[in-house]
Amino acid sequence: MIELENVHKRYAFGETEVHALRGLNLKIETGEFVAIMGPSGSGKSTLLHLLGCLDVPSAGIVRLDGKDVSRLSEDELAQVRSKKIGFVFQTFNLIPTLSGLGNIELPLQFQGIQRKQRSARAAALLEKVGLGGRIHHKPSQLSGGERQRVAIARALASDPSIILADEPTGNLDSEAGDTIMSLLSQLHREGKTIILVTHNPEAAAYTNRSILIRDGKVDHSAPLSSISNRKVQHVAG
Amino acid sequence: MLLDNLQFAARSMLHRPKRSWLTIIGILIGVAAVVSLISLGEGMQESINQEFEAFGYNVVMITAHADHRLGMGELAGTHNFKFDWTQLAHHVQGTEAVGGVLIQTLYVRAGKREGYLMNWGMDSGLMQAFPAYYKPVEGRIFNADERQAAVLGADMAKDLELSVGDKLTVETQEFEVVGVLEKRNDPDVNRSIFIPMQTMQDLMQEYEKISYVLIRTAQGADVKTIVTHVRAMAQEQRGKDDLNVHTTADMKDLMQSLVGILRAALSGIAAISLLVGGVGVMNTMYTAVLERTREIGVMKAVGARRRQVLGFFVLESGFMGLVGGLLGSLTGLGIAWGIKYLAPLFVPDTSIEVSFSPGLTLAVLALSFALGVLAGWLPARKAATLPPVEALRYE
Repeated sequence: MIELENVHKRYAFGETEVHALRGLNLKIETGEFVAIMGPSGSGKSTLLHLLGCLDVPSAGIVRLDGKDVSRLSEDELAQVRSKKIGFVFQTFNLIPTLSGLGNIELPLQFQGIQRKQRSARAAALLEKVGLGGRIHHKPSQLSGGERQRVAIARALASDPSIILADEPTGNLDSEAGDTIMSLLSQLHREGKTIILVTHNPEAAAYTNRSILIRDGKVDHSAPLSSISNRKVQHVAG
Repeated sequence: MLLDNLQFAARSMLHRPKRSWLTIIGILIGVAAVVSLISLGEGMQESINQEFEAFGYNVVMITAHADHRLGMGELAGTHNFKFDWTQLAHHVQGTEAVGGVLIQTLYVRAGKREGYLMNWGMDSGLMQAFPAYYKPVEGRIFNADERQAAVLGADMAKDLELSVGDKLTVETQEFEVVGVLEKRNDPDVNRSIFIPMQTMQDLMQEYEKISYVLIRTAQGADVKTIVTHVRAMAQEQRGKDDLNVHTTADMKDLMQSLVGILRAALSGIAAISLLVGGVGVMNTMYTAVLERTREIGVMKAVGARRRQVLGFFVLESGFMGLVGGLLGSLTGLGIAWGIKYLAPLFVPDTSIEVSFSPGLTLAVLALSFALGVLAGWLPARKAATLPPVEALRYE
């Protein structure tokens, strides 16, 4: 479970200060599949960073599974991330010098897990995302959809409870995008908490709940649930 | 973990091969300069030691004060001075062999060749007192009762195309070559004709002055006391303390300190090029950090701690240093050997030795790795302290 209580985030850009989050309150239950939506500059990227323990708030409290993570040091946050959170990015962000297998092994390497165990785990995950036959391919030898599947496998490497996906279909054609969304839905059914940040209503439609961010706060006025339920039912059916 | 990191470092280097190699070449040049200078310097020191060892450390020399030049043969070109060395053997305790040497450039003819060459007048007994130094490779040293016998330095024999049994004329007198000396590191010895002292004195009509005096002290004798006595005698004879009395040990120390200064100066210059190589590594690593900012963000997002990111980059730059050090050591030794074999072609009579120990090789490798680590430290720290959010946002 993730809870944000009256969270503020301010950035200094030279002389000017940006007040990205302005007293935001949010609760995401374990096992939820939610979409975070909102126009550019609404603060949704900032929110994603806080949810992903990549950053800490200027004020307010972020609780992850009941534990306050808003005052942790960078290395402590890294520990939290490595155990609890998996990231999927719009631009895949695979390390170009490593094979698919190597990329998936990376989070496990940082945890100090032995090579043999790592390889076995990474190979199993590649199998899971349907790339069992492309273990040694470098990212440049894979298509966009395949790269994103490697990225999802990497996010799953240390078996985190939360997957944060930032516009995961943004750089993909609709067919590849559907594959990725189906994969995320499957992970949700397996019990993961999935948080999707997106502009795309079609992607949001896969989720159970959409949260609209506007001006640094959650906007409760927008009736988004009607769209999302339809797609979920369609997928489930 | 270390193996994983090393593999990662190697991959990152190979990912941008041209830049990595250029950076490595920077280190390579620095290390090659250091290694070639060290190995030539060591070789120089060793050959000086060998030379003194052959001559012996228990030798006292008397020369005129005016001479400031160095080297055993060089001392030969001194001003001649008046000194009755025959008294030394009787009055100074602990001497084994004493003798004067008279050196003069004289007109020499041998077959169709002729010219002014350096001649040493030296008693047979004195030459024989230094058997490791005046060592015939052919024939022998002349005997005490021979007057018209000559011994040739190695290069002299070659230049004049003479061997044992041949004849040569010095000024008005004919000599028979009875021996050819082993080649020494002193070119003056190699390019000289040695004839009996008595004959030299007769030739020059010079019976009082000499070029220098050599005293070989007995085993176990106190060389310092002997020096004091010799100096006192010289002062008594000449009425003033105007002669230079020194030991081969003193000369060796002086030579070594001069070589040491030379080596330090050259090594300093070489170290500068190594420093420049280090700056090259730093530059490359800063660029790498900039280029891979997003990658660093990803590493952090998937759980890398600061220390781990630092480790990646430091190891990468250390690795470049190590590769540069390894190739630089080989290149440096190659250059030193090249100089050893090529120098005599351009500068006759040079003899250069190369010496390089495995311990020193290891030290150089460790140093170049450390240099890489040091040069990579700041860029790596920059990478390690990048806030993950900023790193991920970097375009």
